[in-house]
Amino acid sequence: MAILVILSCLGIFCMLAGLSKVSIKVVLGVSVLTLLSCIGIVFYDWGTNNTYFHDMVFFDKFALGFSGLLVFSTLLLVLLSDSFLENAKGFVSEHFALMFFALTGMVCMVSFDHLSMLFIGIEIMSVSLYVLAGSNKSQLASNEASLKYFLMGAFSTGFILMGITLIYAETSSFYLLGIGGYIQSGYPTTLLLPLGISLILMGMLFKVSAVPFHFWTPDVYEGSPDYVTAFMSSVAKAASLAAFYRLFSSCFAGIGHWDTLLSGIVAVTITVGSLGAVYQYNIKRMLAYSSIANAGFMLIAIMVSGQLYNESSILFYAGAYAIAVISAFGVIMVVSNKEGNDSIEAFNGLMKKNPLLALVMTLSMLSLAGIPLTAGFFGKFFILYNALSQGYVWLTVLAVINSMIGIYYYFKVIMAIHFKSAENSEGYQLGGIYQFALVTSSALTLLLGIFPQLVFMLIE
Amino acid sequence: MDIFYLKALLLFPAISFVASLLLNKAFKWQLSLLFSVVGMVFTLFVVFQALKAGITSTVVFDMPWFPYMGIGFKLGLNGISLILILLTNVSVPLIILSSREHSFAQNNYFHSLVYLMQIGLVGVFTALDAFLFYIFWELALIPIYFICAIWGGENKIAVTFKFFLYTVVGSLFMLLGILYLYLHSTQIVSFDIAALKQVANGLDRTTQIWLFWAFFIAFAIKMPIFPFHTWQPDTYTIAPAQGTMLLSGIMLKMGIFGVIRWVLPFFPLAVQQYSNLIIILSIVGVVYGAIIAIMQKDMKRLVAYSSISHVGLICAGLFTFYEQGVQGAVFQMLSHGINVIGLFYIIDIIERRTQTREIAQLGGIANMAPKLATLFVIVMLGSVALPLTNGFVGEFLLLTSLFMYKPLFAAIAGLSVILGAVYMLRMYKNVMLGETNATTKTFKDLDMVEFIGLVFIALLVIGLGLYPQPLLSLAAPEVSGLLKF
Repeated sequence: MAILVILSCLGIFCMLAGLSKVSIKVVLGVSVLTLLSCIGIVFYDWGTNNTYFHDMVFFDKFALGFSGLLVFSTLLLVLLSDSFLENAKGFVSEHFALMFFALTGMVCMVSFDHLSMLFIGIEIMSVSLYVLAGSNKSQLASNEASLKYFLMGAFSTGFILMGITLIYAETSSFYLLGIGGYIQSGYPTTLLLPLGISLILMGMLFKVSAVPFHFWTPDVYEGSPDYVTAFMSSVAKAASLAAFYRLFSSCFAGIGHWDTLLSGIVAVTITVGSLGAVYQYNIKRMLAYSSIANAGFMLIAIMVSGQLYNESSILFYAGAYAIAVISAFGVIMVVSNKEGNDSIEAFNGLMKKNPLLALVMTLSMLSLAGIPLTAGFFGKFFILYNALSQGYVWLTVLAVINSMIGIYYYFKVIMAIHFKSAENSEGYQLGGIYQFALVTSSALTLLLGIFPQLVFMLIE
Repeated sequence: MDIFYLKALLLFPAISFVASLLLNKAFKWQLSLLFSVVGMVFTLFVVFQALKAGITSTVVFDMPWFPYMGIGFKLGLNGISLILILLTNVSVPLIILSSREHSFAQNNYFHSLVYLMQIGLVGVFTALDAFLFYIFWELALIPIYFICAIWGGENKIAVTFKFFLYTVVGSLFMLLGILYLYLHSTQIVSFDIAALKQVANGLDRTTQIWLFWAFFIAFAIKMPIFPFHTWQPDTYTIAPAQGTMLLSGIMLKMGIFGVIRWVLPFFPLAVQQYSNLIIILSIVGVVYGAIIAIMQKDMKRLVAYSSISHVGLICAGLFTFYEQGVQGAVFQMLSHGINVIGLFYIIDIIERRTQTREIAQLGGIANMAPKLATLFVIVMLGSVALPLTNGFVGEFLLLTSLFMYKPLFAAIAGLSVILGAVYMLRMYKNVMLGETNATTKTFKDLDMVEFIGLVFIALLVIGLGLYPQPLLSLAAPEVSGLLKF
């Protein structure tokens, strides 16, 4: 609970600081300290399993683990704000305020025990993200992204709300345990329950950008400012998946045929994501499609939720993915800022221009491609291992084929960095904090790729 | 044998790798050579120790790594792996020595990649945990891909990517195979190779056949065996000479080692059923490689195709399942590695001085460079398996085993020795003998460093040819263990 309070206070502080023209350095300093203290609280609360607000939120290890991940990823992004600040015109503090509000919503989403908390969390996150997507208001693409995201997102939130009411009508409970208990008790159910589940499923699939609700992703990712795209594709993605997992693994596990449906969706999502990414020349669009494919991978964990170590697996995958994406965007922000475009060609000859950026980007792409000794490899390995032991052989084979396709488009970036030469050879200068954040995230990618038990030790 | 040796063998490349990263620009070829030579001397010391004491059992180092799923950091040293580590650690200094004149050897990037690959290779040759094996297997691939794609020649990006995809796809099949075995283990759930072997041996014939192909394709691509070889000639040709040496000298042996470690002991029923087919495929590769080598105009391509031919023979001998065949394969892995590194080194020297590898454009180099001519002859004779050279020992054993298996196969494969003599001698004649022309008129003979490197190789060629017994007896316990089931 302390995290929720502190984060919302941080958001309000940033807003007030923006009003009273406090220097952005001060705002960022306070933010970093506050986020660090939140991480401290996560460790302090570890294993306490506290519930708050009349049992509406429940901070078990899963919730705390994901909260820690979300806060840590946001912290990395705050440290990587240099090139964002360079270009920003006015309302910078407010930008961070919105990010922290969204973060508050996400913490609700990963720790909810009551469906209204889930809904509130999703709303807080989404509304902040709609505004953030359009924060570069002088640019048409940003406005378009915001509008698209808002229109579609509002519908999907509506679906979720409708689903919640239908489920309440059937089970007369908003609590996960109550709903799960009712369903498992074997009372005869009416059509309301499957209808409610499908509506929630649709809404959640939209939030994690799974096929067939993925169409907004490439446009919104491309149109939004880099900094916002980084936030959406790493932190928001992890939060949405955690909420999805929490809801479906506890309430709806093992009933009806929705896991058959979900396995179909996973198959299509992974395939569409990785085939779509093959044809992209814009790095942000490429990462958008890759985020669709990665959502598909994480959905596998939801399908096989009965498996041993499954919570650790999805936390591991989400963490590996978020860290890799953040370090990739840390590089993209600098490069697209200096080169003036987001194409993959902008990365040509990066190894000569700035070896640090080149190595960070290489490592992040290797991790996304799932090459051994990076965190991404173990993420994929655990998820596919669970799928295989649950008997989804065809799905595993499909996922492996798609990972091979993934190697193709991630390596396009690596090839550009190392093997192609640039037209201009102007080097890049980076601030000390910026370098520190990049090195930290890369080091984490390697560390988790060598000692994956670090995450498992926490949860099991 | 002491467990300390095993740890140190893996630590040497690791220390060199870290040093190359930390020293950054100061890590030029001289320093790198020093590091790798120390590693080589240590390896020779370990080999002598092993010879003195005899290495009858596997020395094991075991440490839990990811206990939740039974993954251990388990390494083991036996005769065969020691021979392959010897090959690796002798080759690396030679490769670094040969890189001396290239601009990329003047900073640490190249050397770091070489050491990273060395870690992967030593790891592959010692890993006793399936998961660890897979990790090292992939670790060895990434650096060589970078080496070839950064410093390669024309059309390097497309060619190296083909190579990369081929091998990654192959090893994913292997990973699926490993996972299948792991998920079917009943007693001890672990990735330990010995435990998985129990599981594999207990499977029925059909399942064994599926898994056999999953593993064999991964290794066949690496070797490469006909018809999985299409990536190889292009990659060898465009790679920088040092990359080609790493690929052909050492990395190719990973595939053969994989067959020895996985395929033969794991799936006896499938091996029984398909060994004939594999031997035929290998012999097709032997003849095919040799015939195409005869027609090559580019020296590097010629040696690349000759490599297909040699590897085919090794694989064929391995699948005969006679002691001679397996012994010959192990020995030939070492001698082929040394010979091919020598050949590519010589080609690199010639190319650097004349800016061409076209056989037709060269000629008469022997007049200008007698030292090079002499050493080239020795290395070449090793490659065509003349008696008293290292190549002869291996090929003789391999052909013997084929003869015991089916005399016809031995006759066809024996052609490769004749064809090998044809293309090698023809290349030597056209490049080194005859009249000097405009390109070779100013050819300078070997300088001191090159001379030392090539003399070292030549000594190995002759030394191993004259006295192969120590290495054969080093591998013997392991080989007879392999044939016993």
